[in-house]
Amino acid sequence: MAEVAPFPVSEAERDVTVAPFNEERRLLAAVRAGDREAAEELVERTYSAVFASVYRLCGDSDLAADLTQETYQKAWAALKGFDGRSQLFTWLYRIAYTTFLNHVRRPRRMTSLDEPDSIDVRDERPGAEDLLADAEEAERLRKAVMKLPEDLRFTVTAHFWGGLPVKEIASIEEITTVAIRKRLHKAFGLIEAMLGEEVP
Amino acid sequence: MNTKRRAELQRKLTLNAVPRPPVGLAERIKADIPKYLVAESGPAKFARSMTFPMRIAASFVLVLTSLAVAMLFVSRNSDEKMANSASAPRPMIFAPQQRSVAMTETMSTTAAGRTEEVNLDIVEEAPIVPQLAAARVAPPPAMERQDFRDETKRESGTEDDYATAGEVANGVVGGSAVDAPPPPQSMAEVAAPAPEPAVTQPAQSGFAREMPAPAPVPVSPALERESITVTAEAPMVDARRERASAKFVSKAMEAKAKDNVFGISVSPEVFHDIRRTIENGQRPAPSAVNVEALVNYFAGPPEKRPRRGVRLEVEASPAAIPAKGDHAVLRFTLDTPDATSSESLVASNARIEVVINSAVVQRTRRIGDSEPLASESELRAGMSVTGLYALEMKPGLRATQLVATVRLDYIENGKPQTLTKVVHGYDLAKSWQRASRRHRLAALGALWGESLKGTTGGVDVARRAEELATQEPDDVRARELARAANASAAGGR
Repeated sequence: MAEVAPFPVSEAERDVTVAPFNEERRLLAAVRAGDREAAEELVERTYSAVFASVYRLCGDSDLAADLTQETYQKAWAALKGFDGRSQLFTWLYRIAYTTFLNHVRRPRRMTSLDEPDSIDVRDERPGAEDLLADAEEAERLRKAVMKLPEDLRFTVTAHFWGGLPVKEIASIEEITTVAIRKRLHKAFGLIEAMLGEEVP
Repeated sequence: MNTKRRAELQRKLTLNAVPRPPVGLAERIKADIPKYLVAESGPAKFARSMTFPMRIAASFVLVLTSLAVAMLFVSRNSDEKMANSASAPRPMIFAPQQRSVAMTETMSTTAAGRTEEVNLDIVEEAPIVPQLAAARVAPPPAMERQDFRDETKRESGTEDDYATAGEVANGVVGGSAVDAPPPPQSMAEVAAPAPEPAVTQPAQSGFAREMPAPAPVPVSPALERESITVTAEAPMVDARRERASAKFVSKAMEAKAKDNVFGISVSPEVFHDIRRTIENGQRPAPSAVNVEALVNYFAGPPEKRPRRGVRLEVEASPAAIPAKGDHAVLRFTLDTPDATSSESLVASNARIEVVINSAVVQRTRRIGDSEPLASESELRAGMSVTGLYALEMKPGLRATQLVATVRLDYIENGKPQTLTKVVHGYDLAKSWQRASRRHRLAALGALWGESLKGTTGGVDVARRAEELATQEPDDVRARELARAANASAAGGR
């Protein structure tokens, strides 16, 4: 049987010095001190990225906006516990991801990530597919990602949709970067299987 | 997956179009700020900033006070000592000499000679004379106890390469370093005879239970008062040993309670019993070979336990020994964090479910037991349990096909949790050598156990185990397996 090739490191991953917010520390200190303007500046700098991440998870603009708002509500409440070991956006993404999962798992919805159409919350207005040529494929891809096991799903979404570098994900998951790459490798195999053929 | 396909998939994942955030979202988020962002008040901030320096200052004051009290105590003692040495009559200082004379009536002249040396030492430290004297001249039952303990250790085989049950199992029982009574702190502590056998006897450890009672020592009437001083420390020793014994017993009971997790035997004693039988040149009875217990013994604890929660490991590999058809081994292992406390409950209401995809698997069986896995009401710290499945694959397995799903449901901190791991065809597309050591040892342990039971034959487990032991000379379990498998092949059959 063939050997499994190691998951290659992309050029973008080799130099992990992503610092999306230059004055992150200063802002955080100011926010902690009760500076409202600093908090507003922090929102301005981050909310678009948080919204984009959540949108990619849920595929619905209105829902993404609600979940983004909920993410920040939780963030303010949890700010005291943020120790600054990870980047601010990594921390925010983790909250956003958990918020999304909590929304999906809310009992009133009675949905499961394992069910084929469990997260089909997208507004299917007539003609949407015609207007966006790749929308259908993007939706299939999103659904395939959502069907991944929890650890793989978080890794893929955090890396590709949240834009977090492998090193940051490894840090919050408390595993090595090699393990994260293995997860990505495994996730790609599964996604391909789900897109290309029906998994038994 | 080829590079082109992977790049295409990455592109699709990355370039998924995202609409702009709805107008007013930023304002909605900002509107929440006052509700959740509570700035610390000035006094609170001041109190927080002062807390750390105040703590340091308090520690400093505490240390200084302790030092002053200690110095005061020492100086007072030395004053008293000087006063005693000045005023005490000479017979008091040489009182032990009287005792040594009394003792030498029943002891050898060598002991008497030793007593002479003691007398020389004690002249300068009158207050501790009785303890030292008694310690040095006491009859040797406690020393016999020490020897007996060593003998017990030799008998149980803990001085050779074999690890003790606790060392290799799941860390619950603990090694001798953890559970043995604390080493004696002084000669007096080692040799001080137990004053009342009735107090010493209840000690539950094996060596203490069978320890001979100390021989009565004739003591002259003049020394009886001093002997109280000597024996004052003995109950402390016994209490300490008793506590250690109680700890040992409770840990042993705890280990016994955990001999079975999810209905899987994890008792390390099974391997020790089999090994002893084989070393005696006999073949163990098939009923005595619990394959599951052997699997768990050789899977052992992880190199590093999780820091919190429950860790579920799932691994699959081709079978260790090539056979007709495609055979594979599926393993799941649960590990919990280090046992810092015997009472540490990690999770409850745990249930594990293994689903094998019959579309790709011809036949399957749980190695060592055919009963379904039981649920577990409690998962405690320091626990590891491994289950193995033998799979016979249907021909034509594709890399992306789902082979099995292992799901663990449990409750942690009152919240239901689920861990799910999946195995695909490409997980089996690796050689045996690329499987983890834990996986290989568990699978080899299973093969060895089944060969002992006679359900499989002609299995060269020893060779495989020796490969592992050669690669990692410090791997005790690999050495144990190689040695035991060789012994069973040579003499135990």
